[in-house]
Amino acid sequence: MNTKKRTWFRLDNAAKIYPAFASKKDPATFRVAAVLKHPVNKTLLQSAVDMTLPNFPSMAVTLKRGLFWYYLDENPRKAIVKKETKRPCAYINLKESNGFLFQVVYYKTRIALECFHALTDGYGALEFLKALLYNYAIQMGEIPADSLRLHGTDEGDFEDSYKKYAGEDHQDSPKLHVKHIHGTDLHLDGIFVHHAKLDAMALNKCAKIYGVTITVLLTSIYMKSLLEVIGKGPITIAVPVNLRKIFPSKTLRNFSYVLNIPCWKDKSFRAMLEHVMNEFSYQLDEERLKKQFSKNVNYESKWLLRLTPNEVKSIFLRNARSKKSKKVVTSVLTNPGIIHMPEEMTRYIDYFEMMLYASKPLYVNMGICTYNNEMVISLSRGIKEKDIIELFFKNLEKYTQLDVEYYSNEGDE
Amino acid sequence: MEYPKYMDKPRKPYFKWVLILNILSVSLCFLVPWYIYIQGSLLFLQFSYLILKKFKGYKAVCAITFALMLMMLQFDAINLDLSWSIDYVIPSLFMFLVTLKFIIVMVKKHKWAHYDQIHILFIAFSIVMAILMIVGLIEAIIMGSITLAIFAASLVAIWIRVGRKYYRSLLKFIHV
Repeated sequence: MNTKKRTWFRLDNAAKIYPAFASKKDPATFRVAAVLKHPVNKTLLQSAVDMTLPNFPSMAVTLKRGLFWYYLDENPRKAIVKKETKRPCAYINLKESNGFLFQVVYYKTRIALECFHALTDGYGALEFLKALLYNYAIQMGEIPADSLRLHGTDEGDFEDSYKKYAGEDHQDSPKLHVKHIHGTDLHLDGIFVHHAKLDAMALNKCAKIYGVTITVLLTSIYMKSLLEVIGKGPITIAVPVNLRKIFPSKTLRNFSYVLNIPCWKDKSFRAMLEHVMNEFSYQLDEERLKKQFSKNVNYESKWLLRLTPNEVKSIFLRNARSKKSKKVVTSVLTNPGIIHMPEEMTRYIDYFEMMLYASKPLYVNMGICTYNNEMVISLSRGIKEKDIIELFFKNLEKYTQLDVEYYSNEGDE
Repeated sequence: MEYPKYMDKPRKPYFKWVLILNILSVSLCFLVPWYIYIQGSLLFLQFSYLILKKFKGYKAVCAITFALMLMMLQFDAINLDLSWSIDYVIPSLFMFLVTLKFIIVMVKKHKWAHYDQIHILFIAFSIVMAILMIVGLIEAIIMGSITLAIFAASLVAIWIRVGRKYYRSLLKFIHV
């Protein structure tokens, strides 16, 4: 292990845009959470955070404004665990979080980690949460760590893998101006979230019968639901891909890229599955992905851009996000896959949840998490209307014929 | 699995209205010149409100002083001549901030990370001042020189006091 202490980090290539636009309206946050089998003990959780954070230097940072770029600076303060009072995926106020770009909150049996996307992606956040849960559980009994990653102190753990694996050739990702989800903006801090819990093995069997993967199956059902509500296409579902599965990186910072799965019109379910599967196999190509993210890395390395003052750059980046990035995506669907924990941890953890923030015009987004044969699909919404979510759940039952358990944070809305 | 009952209130889109009112208010200054005193004061109050909501301590003093500089510039703009503000108001307020900072760094045992960013912004500000002096926009050369000299002296003193951290902070701030 490399114990050389890093005190500050440049933002990685994907993270550079987030500080430029993040606000209460568009917070750029996501949540990974674990629901335990017993109520959370705040004291144990706080000491688990205190034990875990020093081992993850890339998380123990705060965001600072430089003359040319934002950067992540070492944060010597203590990360305080809080009882959940805000809706999930609210804007992370640095004053409230003691300067950290994440916040650990708990409520009854749930431990949630809310992260600002400039800090890390879903993979990095899950690795941190897993180490946190392990450190929480070992205070109650001996548990072998198995393959669990309890440290993120190597140089490779905080490298900018985009830069490392970028090539000379680059290529534009296809840009299609798509239809968006419309509705009455709730103007709330945070989101409404609707969960569907189902048997992961049974869903996998169902996907095998259709001859596709779980992600393709769920993307197809979601695509059909979106098209039924929005009407005519084109629409695009952005599916983030963990590039660590393609490139030999173990970074705990951002290293993912999105596949934009387009669809022009509604079609039969079989035809939709075939269309989505073809798009996945066409876009999920190492060389293709490399060329696409290399383009962003190449932009970042241009001297004119590098020497432009941060404030001016932020205006351009904000503009690029609202005028370009958001125009090409209708909704986001993220599935980090199966979460592996030591066998003994099943005594403590029931299931995991993952959810994304929802803001104009990406008013509904989906996060999927699987642990110990329990899959939780979480649909976040930032609008009053629930038609897409209701239709997706209806279609989910229709096309999979599985029993689904629902819950949400609606309360007495 | 349950969620708590949230006590949230919808965000109100005040910003748009405040911006429109400010644009109207600035436009009125062109029709009624004396109104600039009211407009400048209102803008200063708005800034002060936002600053005090966000910052405290030395950061708040700094931000309010900069808001004050802006208000003075506005008042001076009534004659379309900013020389009084540029030559005297801005340097003297800047001198006040630098001296205050110098005293705090010397007297209080805070971590350098508390002040590094503001200090680096001062460096940028003094570079702008020096450029304005060179191109002749700042005509009160003696006043400007005294300000820059005080700043340079504080730089050296703080450098000696803070040591290598000073250099590291500077490097982080200006990384490209």
